[in-house]
Amino acid sequence: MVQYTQMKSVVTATCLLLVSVPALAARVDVPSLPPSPYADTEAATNIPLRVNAAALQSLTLSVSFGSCETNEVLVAIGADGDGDGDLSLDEAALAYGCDCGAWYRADLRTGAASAADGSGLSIGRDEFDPSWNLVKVIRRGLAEVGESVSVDVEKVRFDIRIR
Amino acid sequence: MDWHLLGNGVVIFECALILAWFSRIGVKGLRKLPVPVLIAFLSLASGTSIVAQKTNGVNSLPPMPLRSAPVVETVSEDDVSRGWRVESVATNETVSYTMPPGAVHVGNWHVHGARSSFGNNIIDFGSAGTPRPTGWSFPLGTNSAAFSSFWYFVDGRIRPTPKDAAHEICAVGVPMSAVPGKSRLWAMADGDCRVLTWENFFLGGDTNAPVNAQIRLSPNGDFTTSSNEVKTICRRVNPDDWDGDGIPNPDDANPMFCDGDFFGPANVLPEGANTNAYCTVSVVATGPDSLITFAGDGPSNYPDPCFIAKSGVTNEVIILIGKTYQVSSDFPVSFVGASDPATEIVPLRGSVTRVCRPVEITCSGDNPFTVSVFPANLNGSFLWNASNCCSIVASDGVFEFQCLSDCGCGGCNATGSYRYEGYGMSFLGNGCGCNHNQANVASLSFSASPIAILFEPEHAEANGLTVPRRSTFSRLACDVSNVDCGMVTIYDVSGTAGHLKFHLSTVDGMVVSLPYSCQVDGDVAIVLFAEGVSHGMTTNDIRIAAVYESADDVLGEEVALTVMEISTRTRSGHPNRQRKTLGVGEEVMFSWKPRLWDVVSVDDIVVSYDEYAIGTPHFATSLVHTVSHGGASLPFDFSVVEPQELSAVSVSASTNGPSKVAGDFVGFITISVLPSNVSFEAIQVKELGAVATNVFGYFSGMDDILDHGNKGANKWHGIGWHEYEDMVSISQVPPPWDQGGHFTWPITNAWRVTTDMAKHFPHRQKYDQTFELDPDGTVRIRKMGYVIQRNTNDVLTVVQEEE
Repeated sequence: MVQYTQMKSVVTATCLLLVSVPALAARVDVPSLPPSPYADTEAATNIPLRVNAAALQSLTLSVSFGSCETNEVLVAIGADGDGDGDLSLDEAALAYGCDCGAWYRADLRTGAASAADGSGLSIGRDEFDPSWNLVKVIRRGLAEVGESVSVDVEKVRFDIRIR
Repeated sequence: MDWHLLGNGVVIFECALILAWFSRIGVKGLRKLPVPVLIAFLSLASGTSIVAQKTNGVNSLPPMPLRSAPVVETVSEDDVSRGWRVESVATNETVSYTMPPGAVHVGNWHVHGARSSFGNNIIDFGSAGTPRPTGWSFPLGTNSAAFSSFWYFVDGRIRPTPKDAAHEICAVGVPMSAVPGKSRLWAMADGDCRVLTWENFFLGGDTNAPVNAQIRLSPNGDFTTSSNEVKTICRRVNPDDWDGDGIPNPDDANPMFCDGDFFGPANVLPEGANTNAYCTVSVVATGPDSLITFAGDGPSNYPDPCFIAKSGVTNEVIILIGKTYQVSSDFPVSFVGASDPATEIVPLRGSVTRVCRPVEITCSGDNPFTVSVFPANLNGSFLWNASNCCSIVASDGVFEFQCLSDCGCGGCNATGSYRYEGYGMSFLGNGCGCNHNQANVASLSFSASPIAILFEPEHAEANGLTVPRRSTFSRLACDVSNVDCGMVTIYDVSGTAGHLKFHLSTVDGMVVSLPYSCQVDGDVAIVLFAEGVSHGMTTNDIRIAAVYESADDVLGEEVALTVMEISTRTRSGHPNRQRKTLGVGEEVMFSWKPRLWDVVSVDDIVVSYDEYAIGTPHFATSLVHTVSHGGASLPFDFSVVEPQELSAVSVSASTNGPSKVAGDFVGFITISVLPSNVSFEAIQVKELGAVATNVFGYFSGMDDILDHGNKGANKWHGIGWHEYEDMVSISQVPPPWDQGGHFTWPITNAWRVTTDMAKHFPHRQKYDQTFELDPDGTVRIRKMGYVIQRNTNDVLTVVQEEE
């Protein structure tokens, strides 16, 4: 386990998303979340996703967020249909995150949402849509909240880790 | 930055969105507003708000026996697809967005604010399976779908599911920003309604003009959206009656009664229809969207098409072969083709076109005879109307007259009807000589030339002399056949021959006085000439009768008849022999004087009237009815008009209740259906029920009385001549009255000929009925230019409003 700490301001916080495929020994460093241009402090970034669906066993989104009780972070995955590099609501398929202390997962295609635990969102091979090519990370919350992100390496062929 | 100007701009932008919304849903009148008016409308955004006063204790008000009428809001395709329509938009409403005690704080928006709209943003009003299921649900869409939870977004929208844009409800619709520590979302139950409120947001990055938004959902599918002072009331589109006209969708879909539910013709043939009996014509609305009505000349299984044609779109319209349609439209249309080249498309007048693919029916042979139809594959059958003496029987496609032994003379010309696809086409069958069935029965007949015209009016001749009104020199022929030796006597049975003189044929050249008798030996023709002025000074009032008396003193048959006078007389209301403009469904009598082919005994030479009536079509048209006899014909031209509008003629009022109270009076409005120069006795009128608008004060929330449909609307009323009485009333209005109040039933009317379906008046005129309560208890009803008012001092007045 690798532990990262600190982040004094949400607005200036950075987030690291690591994508690793153990079999290929690949790792992707996710750029830091940009400063929020909005008064509600929302910050978001998009990470291109290239997955060999044929070789995929499962894909796990793992999020650890220290200030989950008063803030929100979520990861959404889907297909960037218009190719603008941003995963819009209409393009997103699944979302997973922590909202004011409650972990949830939501299927944005059907509107079905359910409680989840913080162990991550595992997407099986059958559930994964080969057209999915974009992951979006969103964080909201007031400034001056401490947070930490832990990255777990799961025993799967493909991991996405957020810092 | 000038924050004030930016704030105003934001609010004006909201109004612009609302206007755009109006345009999208097809509020045609708004589209037609001139630009300055639209600008003025936008300026309302900065207008002063009025504190909407809410009433208390309204639940104690007894049901009010209100009556009158209602609205037909035509829905658009978008309305139908999403399941609701905008009923009204107010720009000066005051709505409280502050979270009241008992509301549920959904969350502070600094967390839940989501410009990207992602997140677990679900508001649940008690779905099954939740910790506290309430059973509450909100029907949305023109199906059976109902929802207990919604996904919400930061810009004041909710959806049943995140991506279900088709069923989105939007209070703002433009990006809003949450303010850390200030913006919040709250929800609450308000009676049967559920309220979701976005409190204290900013549009975009502007922090100077706070925006609030609220969506109030009613379990009946109605809802209200509010944003600052803009309040929009939306009504559910009834899944069973999309346009709310009281006619179920299946009937609305019936093209005869379509009034906005559909674009383009239905083109649905009845089950089991013979497709060979139908063809199509192509029509295009060359101007704006247009209502196109095909009015056929009789009923059929396939109803007459009527539909709204979208501008520029070619509509293939199915018509029944052989049926004649008068096609009318409210905007220009053009016929651009027909599937059957034999189709006749003939412009008549104005925007009316006659369309028909003719059917030819031909009789061959005398007796028996055959009938052929072209086109031949219509699969119809023949029906024969009873003639004066014969019936027609069919055998293996051959028809034969079968006459009674006492069949009179003149022959039989039975009319037949060729029926297919529920449609009947009349034709005249071959005549038969029935006399061969009569042994030793004399036959007498008269003919006249010129028939029916026996006088010429007063006129000036070339020499300057004025010739008085006089009869022309008309030839009358009396033919006597199938007789043995006997006597023929000719009578003048008019009794008022006046100055008429009768001559025998020019061979005889003698003036005779009637009765005139002559001995005959076998068949004979006696020719008389009449000249002079008829005593009655009326048209064609010469009446001649002939009697044959056989030599063996056995009375023969007598033919009493002569020149026919044909007249018309309107049958309903005030009989009128001159009027040729008729109301829809009105009956007009055609009279002969004297009776044609009248067979009477020699001792009973009675000339009587004979007449028949025809009913006019149930739609506006020009009508020519031709009466033919003896080779001559006399056409009568009629114009048939539909009701155009309503006008209050007089108003009276009364009250029989306790004194010193508010309300409790009845008004009676005598309403004339215009035009007033025809009879509309055949039609019925009803007011179409709608929910009240302009609701204020005392009457707010009194849903029972606000729905006109619950208070006397949607009921048909008969018409006497062209007037009927409308009753308006209000029950006692209990105090307190200090806040006053008012509401208006939007009223349009429909009419029908009794057995038909409803039709709108041509311009869908509004005859709104307004109820008003003053703070001193004065109550008044306004309708059709009249005001009925009762003060609490029992003074009841009726006044006509100034134009």
